[in-house]
Amino acid sequence: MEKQVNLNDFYRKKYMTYQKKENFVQDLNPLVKLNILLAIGIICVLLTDFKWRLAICALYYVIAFAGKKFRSFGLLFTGLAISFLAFLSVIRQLSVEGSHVLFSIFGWKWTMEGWESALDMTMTLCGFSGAVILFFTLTEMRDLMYALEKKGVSHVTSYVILASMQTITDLKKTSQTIMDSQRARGVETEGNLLVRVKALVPVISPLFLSALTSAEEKAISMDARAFSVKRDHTFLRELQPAPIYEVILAVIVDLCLIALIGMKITGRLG
Amino acid sequence: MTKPKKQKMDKMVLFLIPIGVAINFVGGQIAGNLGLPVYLDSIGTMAIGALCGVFPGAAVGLVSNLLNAVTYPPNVFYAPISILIGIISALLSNKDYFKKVGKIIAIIAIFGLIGGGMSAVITWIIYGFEFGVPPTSYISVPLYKALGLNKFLCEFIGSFCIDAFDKAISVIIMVGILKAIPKRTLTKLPLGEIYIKEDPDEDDDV
Amino acid sequence: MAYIELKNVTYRYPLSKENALEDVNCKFEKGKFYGIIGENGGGKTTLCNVIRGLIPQFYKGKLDGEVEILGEELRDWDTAELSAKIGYVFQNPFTQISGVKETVFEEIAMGMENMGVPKEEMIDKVVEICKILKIEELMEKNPNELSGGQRQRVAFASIIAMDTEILVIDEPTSQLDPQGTQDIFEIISMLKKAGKTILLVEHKIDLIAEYCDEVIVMEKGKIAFSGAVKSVLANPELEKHGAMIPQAAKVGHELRKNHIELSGIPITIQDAVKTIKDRMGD
Repeated sequence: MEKQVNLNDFYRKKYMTYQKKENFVQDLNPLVKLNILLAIGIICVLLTDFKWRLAICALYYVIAFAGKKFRSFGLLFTGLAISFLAFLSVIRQLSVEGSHVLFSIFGWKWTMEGWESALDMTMTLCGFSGAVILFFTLTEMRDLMYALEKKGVSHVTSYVILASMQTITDLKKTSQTIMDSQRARGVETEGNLLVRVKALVPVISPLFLSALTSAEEKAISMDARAFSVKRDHTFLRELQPAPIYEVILAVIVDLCLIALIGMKITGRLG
Repeated sequence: MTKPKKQKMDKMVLFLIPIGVAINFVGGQIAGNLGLPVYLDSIGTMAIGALCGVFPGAAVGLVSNLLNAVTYPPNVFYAPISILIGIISALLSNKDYFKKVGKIIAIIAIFGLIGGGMSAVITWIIYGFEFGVPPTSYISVPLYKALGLNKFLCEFIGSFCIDAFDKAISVIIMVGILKAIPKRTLTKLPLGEIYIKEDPDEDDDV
Repeated sequence: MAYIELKNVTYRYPLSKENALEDVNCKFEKGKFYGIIGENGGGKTTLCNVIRGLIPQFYKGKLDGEVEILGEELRDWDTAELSAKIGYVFQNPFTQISGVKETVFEEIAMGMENMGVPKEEMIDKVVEICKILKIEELMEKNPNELSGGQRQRVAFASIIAMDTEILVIDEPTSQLDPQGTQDIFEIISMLKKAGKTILLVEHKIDLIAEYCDEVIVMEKGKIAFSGAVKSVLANPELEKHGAMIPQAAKVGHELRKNHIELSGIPITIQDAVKTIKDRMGD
């Protein structure tokens, strides 16, 4: 009996209050967070000055650190930034004509112009990508979907997004199993291009077919869970509605963006 | 009487969208595992488009790109292509295109042109009217260097080559899948009938 | 007016050449526990699908005859609303997990969320059900990473949490060990005591004998036998119609063959012990 009281209390405490991570950055309302980060991302793309852009990218790291997600954000973002820089450096050296030679490798002249173009493009991509990656490392998808549902997005949309993520995980696991078993059965997965392409069919086709048949049962079982009953839903997990100071914060960032766009249009900025 | 029936149909379709999305991701992953120089990230979009129609196909494309953008944000700008692939797949399916070898070649060309063309344009804009990152630039940049053609033309050719090759493999795999779907499942899919009627020895008892 | 009634129901799946149900007539009364048994492919699941309203809307195909559920013709029911009246658990535990919830607790609560049940009530209900099903230790686990047996319990919990008047349960114990199976039967009989109407498809005949009120035996889409559990399961003809006979009834038939007359054919072990004792006491 005592145990039951404890469990009831435990879960009431857990769910009757708003879901919090006890971290200011992570606990920002998902839509406010999305607004702020996207606005910063666009600002970063619009600003042409290298120093400003670098500062914004540094800011991403700071926000990630404050949100206790420095490691996961850092790994993903830095990796992406390096790959952009590496590819673009080579490509732009080849495609952008320039006269200011920096150095040359076996007669291949690296120019200042090519380098600047690569760096500029990298910063543009990183400025935008950083904001998006940061948002998703700081926000769980289910929280974003909750916030959207509260704004009137259908629970069907929410289901499709969340179920897609789970299905990706599930099918990736299954595909690995199928692949291993096909290999064990002697289906060649290595060799020339044609051999490898042929190996794809026996892997993808059973995967898709079993998933297709399972969709039928999924439809029935979700139906049994009142998925399509038209009633107002309740939410077990609830997030705090955006407090006024969060909204103000978002508005300030948005105003900065608008001001910047204004300056861009009137030509007061590069 | 017809209305609730339709509703029911849509419901099944709803649960197929996540599967289409997952197939797109898994295709990409397997292509990577096997070391194939293709994306294979649109098999799910094409298949759901062909089996369920315009809207589900488009939805699979959109959701796939959005989820991909979580780890690779520039992908979000390529969403229109994925959506279009879903839509076109549904339209072609309606016109029986996926059932004849001759037409399948036409499909590959259509997808290659649309996918390659649009992605060339989008890349061109995102990358500041310059070449993008690989794999297209493996073709476009050398092409530009060797022949000195117009940069956009090079990007377009590179993009088209990669896309046509990718779509060729995707379409072939997808047609194989379509053929293997059991009839019982097909009866529940909006465009499933297209792939059932083919069988001449089936008596019409529905 | 019957609670659930099927009159001359014949159904054929699309593309199929045989009727999955043929001229089925049966009635289900409120508050009773029905066992549906019979050979594989005999139409047990199809019967469930009709009552659930999945036939013909979902499966399409051709349905003839009258189906009345809670006093209303099946074709007049809004399928979504019907799902709020009839809980449905089926065999495959893997497809019954929504895939959108991160803990078992939230998974079980999902049906109630969709029904708009107030949060406090929802929390208490989930805790209560987890206790009944003895899955408290799973509550914080990710439902997508459970074993088949665990998922089966969670799927079952998710449906009974919705507190529907009618429960259609299609082989809920396929992934469970004997103890787990016994537990599920205990819970179903508890639900029956709470006034629910239960339709259960099961192969485990001894448990059917022990718990059900009435039994329907399906064979080739027809109802071979139906009626009170005691009379149907005591019928020696049962085995000729693809259904199994409880252990206790087998003993009874053997004894009869050897001219040891019992007061009746027992169908449960308890029953058998009592009958035989009576006979020895004579």
